[in-house]
Amino acid sequence: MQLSADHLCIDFPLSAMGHSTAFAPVPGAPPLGGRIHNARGHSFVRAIDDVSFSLGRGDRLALVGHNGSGKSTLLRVLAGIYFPTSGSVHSSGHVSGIFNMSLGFRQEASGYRNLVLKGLMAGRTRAQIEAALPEIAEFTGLGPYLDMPLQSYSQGMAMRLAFAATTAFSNDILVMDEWIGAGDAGFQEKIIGRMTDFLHASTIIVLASHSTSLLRRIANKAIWLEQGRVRMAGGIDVIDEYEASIMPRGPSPAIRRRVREGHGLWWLPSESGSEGPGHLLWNIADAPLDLQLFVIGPDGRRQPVRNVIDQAGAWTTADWVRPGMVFEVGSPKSEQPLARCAIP
Amino acid sequence: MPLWSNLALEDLRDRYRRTVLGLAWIIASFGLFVAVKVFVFGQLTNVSGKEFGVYVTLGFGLWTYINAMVVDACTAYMHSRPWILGTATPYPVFLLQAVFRNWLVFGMILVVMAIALYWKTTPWVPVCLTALPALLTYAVTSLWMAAILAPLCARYRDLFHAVQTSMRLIFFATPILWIPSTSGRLMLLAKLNPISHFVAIVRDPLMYDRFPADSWLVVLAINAVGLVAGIVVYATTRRRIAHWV
Repeated sequence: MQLSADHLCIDFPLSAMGHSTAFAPVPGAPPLGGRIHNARGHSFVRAIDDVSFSLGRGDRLALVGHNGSGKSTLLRVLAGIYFPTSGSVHSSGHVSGIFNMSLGFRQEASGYRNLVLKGLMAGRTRAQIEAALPEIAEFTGLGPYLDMPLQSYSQGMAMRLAFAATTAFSNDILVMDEWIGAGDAGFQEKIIGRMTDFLHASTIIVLASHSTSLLRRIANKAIWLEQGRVRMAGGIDVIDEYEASIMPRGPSPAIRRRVREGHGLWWLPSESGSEGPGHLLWNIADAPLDLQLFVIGPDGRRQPVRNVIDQAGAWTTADWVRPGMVFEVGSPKSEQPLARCAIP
Repeated sequence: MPLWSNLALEDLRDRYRRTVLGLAWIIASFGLFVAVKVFVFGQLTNVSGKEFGVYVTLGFGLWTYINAMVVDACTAYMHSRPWILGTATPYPVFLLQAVFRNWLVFGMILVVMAIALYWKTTPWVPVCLTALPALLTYAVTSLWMAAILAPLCARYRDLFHAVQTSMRLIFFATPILWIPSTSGRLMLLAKLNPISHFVAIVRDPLMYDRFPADSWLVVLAINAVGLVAGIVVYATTRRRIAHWV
């Protein structure tokens, strides 16, 4: 069993481009949305840009990233909803997507009728659906409500129905978007339990969520998307990196001002009187695009601390930083650093 | 039952759920429309009340299907936007769903039309049966028309309103409330309007025991071109529909 993407790109046509004067990026803000480019007189948003990965039996991939970073689009390509502009998706079987919990649900029809429709939608026969119904009914815990119209359900109850139906009729490869965070605590445990069942059934799961704690419990691989590109890929440590980048204790306006005023790579100790960590600041003119922040290890070799950095920025030093450590900013292609700084 | 028929059935159930009359509303509203039309426009014609009643019932029944089908064909994809963006369901499901939904309604109207034939003024002869294959061409035409209109209307939203508006105008240009043989100009109008040929291949054999060969030629020619166009439009737009809806 496998699911892989090979140099996947997706362009969304922009039918109407407004005045482009408002596009100046806000300094320090995370990049939102895909890059806008023009071809053949039309404007496109590149929602997914050269994404490749390969998943095998039992892999559970977490997608993290800011709003508009391409997570949902990537999931929809994997599920066969969007066709790739270039590149390709290969899967060994049918991919089921769970995107919208109200999808395919008729507000006026009963819970049971909705379950049957959902099963038909997933390509099951009537007999298969009838056989699966008792188990689904038990999993939802909705009891007599299954005979009532869906509009009498609370949102959480509708979600229970949706999750139970979708996973019961899903195939071996499952992509899920965002909504596992919904529902009450008891049902969330059921969801994670069912995910674990999937793991034993050696399925492949790809899921996107902003709930990093849930992702950590389910995933064994992670991809961090930014502007449709893979910013970082690997194990669940990618989730830690992403979380660190969105922490509210990021560079304060005062630090960003200092970044703009300075030049090179320099150390800014925490303000006198406060116990917080210090900052490494850098501002390098005419820097190449593949800038990285390195630390010189005890063996004299450099190790990347930040894989992708802008030409000007700040890093709130981690707990392991000690006086005497040496940091460098440079390109991974060149041994020669662009700037260097030792912690005093 | 396949998925598309279940979806179509559910669409209809949704439309009439929690009403007392339910699907009988289709028959009731059609019957009332025909009654008023026969009462008003019957005064303006010189044919017998019986004949005009059958003429209007058949013509308006067919028109009701054609009009609803053309308008529904435009929204077949737009109407299913959440499905298209949420599942990888093959797109023909949505086209078949729209066609079948209209046939379910048409089926009930056909019952009323069949009852009206009790007052048929001419004898029953074998040629009357050619109305059945004529109804079959309606199903074929509906399918390729949905394959053309659904993606184009999703891409160019003005088209839907243009189609809706033109259908309202075409109603008056189609021999339903008037009879072509009454004036030369009306005869020409009926000849130029393709929908009047679609009406004729069902209505003429039933009303006048006549096989309208020229109308059949027009309908078959339109279907031949339309089938090819339908396949071409479907194949070329398929990959971009998710971006348009």
